[in-house]
Amino acid sequence: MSAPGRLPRWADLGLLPVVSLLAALAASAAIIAIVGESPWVALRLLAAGAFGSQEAAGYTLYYATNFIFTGLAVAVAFHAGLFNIGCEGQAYVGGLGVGLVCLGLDHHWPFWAILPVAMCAAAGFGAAWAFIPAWLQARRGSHIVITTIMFNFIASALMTYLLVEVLIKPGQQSPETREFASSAWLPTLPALLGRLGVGVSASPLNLAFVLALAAAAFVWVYVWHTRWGYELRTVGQNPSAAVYAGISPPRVMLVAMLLSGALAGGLGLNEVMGVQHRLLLDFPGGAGFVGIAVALMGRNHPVGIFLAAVLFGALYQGGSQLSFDLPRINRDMVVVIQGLVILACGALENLFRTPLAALFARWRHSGEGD
Amino acid sequence: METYTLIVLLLAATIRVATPLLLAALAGMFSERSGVIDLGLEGKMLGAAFAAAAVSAVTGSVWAGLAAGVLTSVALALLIGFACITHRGNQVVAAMAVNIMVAGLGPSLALAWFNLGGQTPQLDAPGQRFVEIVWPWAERARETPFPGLLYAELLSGHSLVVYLAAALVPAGA
Repeated sequence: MSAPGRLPRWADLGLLPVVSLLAALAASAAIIAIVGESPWVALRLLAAGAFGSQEAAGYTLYYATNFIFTGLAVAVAFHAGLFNIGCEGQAYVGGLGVGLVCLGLDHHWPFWAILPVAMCAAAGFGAAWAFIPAWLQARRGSHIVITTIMFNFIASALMTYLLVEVLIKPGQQSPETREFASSAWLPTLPALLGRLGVGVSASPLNLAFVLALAAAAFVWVYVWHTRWGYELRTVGQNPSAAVYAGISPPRVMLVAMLLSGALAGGLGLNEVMGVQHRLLLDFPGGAGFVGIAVALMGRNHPVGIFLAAVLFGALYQGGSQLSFDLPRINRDMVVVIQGLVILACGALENLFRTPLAALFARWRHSGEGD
Repeated sequence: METYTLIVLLLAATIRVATPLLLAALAGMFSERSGVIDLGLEGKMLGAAFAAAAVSAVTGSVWAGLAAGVLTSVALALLIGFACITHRGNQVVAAMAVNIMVAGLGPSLALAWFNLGGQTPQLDAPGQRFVEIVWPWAERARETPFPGLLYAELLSGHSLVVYLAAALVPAGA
């Protein structure tokens, strides 16, 4: 097996993910056919369910908001050579921070004062949850994959305990807190646009989407245009070279994981403050794991992550439409497609890279021969 | 006496519940020794469980189910191997992908094939599942607490898979 060949940058960033995605979709189509539905009908329903109306598109972007946050979180850790599987737990605990701030301040402070505190809480709680696995990896060499997976379980148990025993609104059965006062609600984008005179149908899409875009811009600047980002990428590509260059890999790993956890915590803003307006069980809903697929598909670049997040948002929103309309398909089909996308874009990228590189080499060679 | 019986029953239950962990740990040991970190064990076991339950329900034969389960797990292992070894993909990513894919695939196929809301049918009929193997004189031995109860509960009365897993420990060493 020869080493994977080199591709031009545009092909590496643009062509390869598209080819991988098409392969994953082809495999998904085969499974849908096995299940006994027409892949073509399924695709049409999926697209209509995701983008067919303003409301549907709003839902798609609302899901995408979660995936942008978790995708960025995975990507930042990836650039430092760390595989953060714990975004689910970090987002869960980040949401706890948001919830505590909202519960504590909603009757006392106006919205514009609550928002920055809630943002700090989301980032702070998420980062805190990433800190212990990060410290164990950086200082003790414990495998970050194992520890972050474990911390997902711990976060889940912790949140269940808190919601069932401590934070539950007295006098009700379901483990939820009371609803926040409306001063702690993120305004929806349709409402904001309506104020500007642009009419858009109502959807849960809210201000967190704008914050997610800002976070993407921040990651772009941080990773590629600051000294810290340079250190981050150096440690990710070659820790030994980083030591030689005077960079301390453990410190950079810690910072990368804290940043990763903080970004994952942003999901809490979207779900808790933007949509649910209360703390409840399992609000991350697997978005932490989707973030892995999003980061892989987006080649760990903010622009790619945005596009991949919208794609997965469309899969989620269109997928629920699909399970309504086609009796032989349930929501789990979306999980299958997600797994296939991770497999094709993440693990099997060399499957297409090698032949593509050969193709480019031959094309370039024949060009020189003329 | 009560406590003694309780402890013996607890130990018997421990053996039963530890079996899947033991099998997974043995599986992890082999791949770990070859230098592959196998986070895909979860997905393989889930896929194998689905295949075994589905095939056993359809054919009515527990042996066909066992074969289907093993083959499914091996097929998933080949898929991970194809990604990680042949194409030098990231081992952790490949395994995560398989875990997620299988977690969705089981309910999806179950819904399409059995129409029971994403579950496989209950395995009730004789021959569809491994039954507890009762060793000779186990019922008589139960009457004497020591060592009869130990024999009846700890040695006797487990399914074939439990004994198989135990036998694999010295075989794998």
